[in-house]
Amino acid sequence: MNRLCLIAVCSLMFASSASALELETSWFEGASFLKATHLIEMRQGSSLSRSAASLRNGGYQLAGGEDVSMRRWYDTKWVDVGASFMTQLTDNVGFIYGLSTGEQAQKYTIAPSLKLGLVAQFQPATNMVVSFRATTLLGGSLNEKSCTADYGDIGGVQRVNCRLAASTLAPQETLNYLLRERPLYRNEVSVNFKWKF
Amino acid sequence: MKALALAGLFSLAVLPFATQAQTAQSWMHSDVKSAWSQGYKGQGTTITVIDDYSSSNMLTGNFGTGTKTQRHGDFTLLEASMVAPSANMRAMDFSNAGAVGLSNGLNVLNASYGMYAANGYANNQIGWSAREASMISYAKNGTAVVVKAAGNDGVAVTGVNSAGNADYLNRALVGAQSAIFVGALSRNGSNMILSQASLASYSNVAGADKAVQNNFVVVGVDSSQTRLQGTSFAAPIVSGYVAVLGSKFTQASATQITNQLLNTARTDTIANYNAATHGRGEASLSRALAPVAIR
Repeated sequence: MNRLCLIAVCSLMFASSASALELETSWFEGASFLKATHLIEMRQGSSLSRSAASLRNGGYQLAGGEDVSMRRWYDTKWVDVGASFMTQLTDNVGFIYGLSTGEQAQKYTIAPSLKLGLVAQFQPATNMVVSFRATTLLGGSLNEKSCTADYGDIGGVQRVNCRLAASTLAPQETLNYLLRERPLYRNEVSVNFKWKF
Repeated sequence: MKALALAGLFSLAVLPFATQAQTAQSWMHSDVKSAWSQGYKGQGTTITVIDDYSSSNMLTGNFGTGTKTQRHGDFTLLEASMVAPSANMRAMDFSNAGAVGLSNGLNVLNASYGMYAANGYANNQIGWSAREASMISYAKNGTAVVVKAAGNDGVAVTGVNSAGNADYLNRALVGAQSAIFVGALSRNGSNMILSQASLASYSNVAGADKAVQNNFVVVGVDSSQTRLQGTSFAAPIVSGYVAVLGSKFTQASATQITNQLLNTARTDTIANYNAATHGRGEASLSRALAPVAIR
């Protein structure tokens, strides 16, 4: 009997992907949704969270000598948390879906994301299983916000990159360095081959 | 009263100068190194260094590019170009008594020299050459930033030295909206109590005149590193700072940039700061580049 072999890896604090999961029932075959559904990934943080975290370092002094720390703009109380599930549709096909919460601070946001995908398998021979997995991520981008800086008589009030307001770059030019990043691996395709002997 | 003519001696054109590579040197304030690490861009400004490029008087020193024996102007031009490596540099020899030409964009005129004559003349008795007349006019009208070395007699900028002479160019620039007088600290200052800098023993001071104090700053000239001392080597540092500011605030006038540098000078990096000695304080490039407020 063809069975879908997917091993679920449930991990906290780091991302992982599902490869083969041992399932006994599928939704299309009458199992309840909950019975046919499995948690395959749980994570806190992401590559974009780490990019945002690096922005918290450093600072500078204003014209009058007041210290400005990047922490006040880039510190967050909630780091992006995500979870993914797989619902077995048939013996050999599963539907993958997931959500992340996103995260935000005063000067950046990481948008929530939606993960969708499929996993399928076939047995080319006894004791061999080949599984294909494809997922795509919607949303989840990091966007840095600008600051409003008052340069006084020499430059007036201008929109600037918060981190570069005191640099040698012209205020307008600092906006070119606002962080705009998409998740590192938006689309993933993997093939898994298992042979027991 | 007989008019006193003060003019240069020789005749040579403006000299070409090769832009220096960007290498932070130990004698530079840490603000300069920080600026470079952020990707400094000094284009759009012109620094004209009026100095000696042709006499037989030589100095020996090292700004980090190797020990050189060369003329005074070669050193001041080199120093300014090292602080502002992307600025357009122009060398104008003392022999050229014509008016200083200006380029498009912000112009900075570096004057690491004085025009001395016996004390006792009124400013309007001085018969300036076209060169100094143009510099004074630019400073009074806010057309260019004129950075003037304060002098090395240990007296007030407008005072009389031990020989009974006064720097009449200093006196002519008092009250000019885009003139900056530059004195010398013995080294770069720090806000750590035991690391605050003192005025170099030779440096002229701002003096009691508030108009001078308001346009007077100091910077570190560490002769232990460069083997060169004098307010002549303080002025090019400030000229470089002005050029850096001008490349960031491209719409600002010479007067606005002058005021920014003066208003953001630091007093906490100087030992026993007082306005009559140190003017506005130690010029701070980092604070001059920073906003007043941000949110």
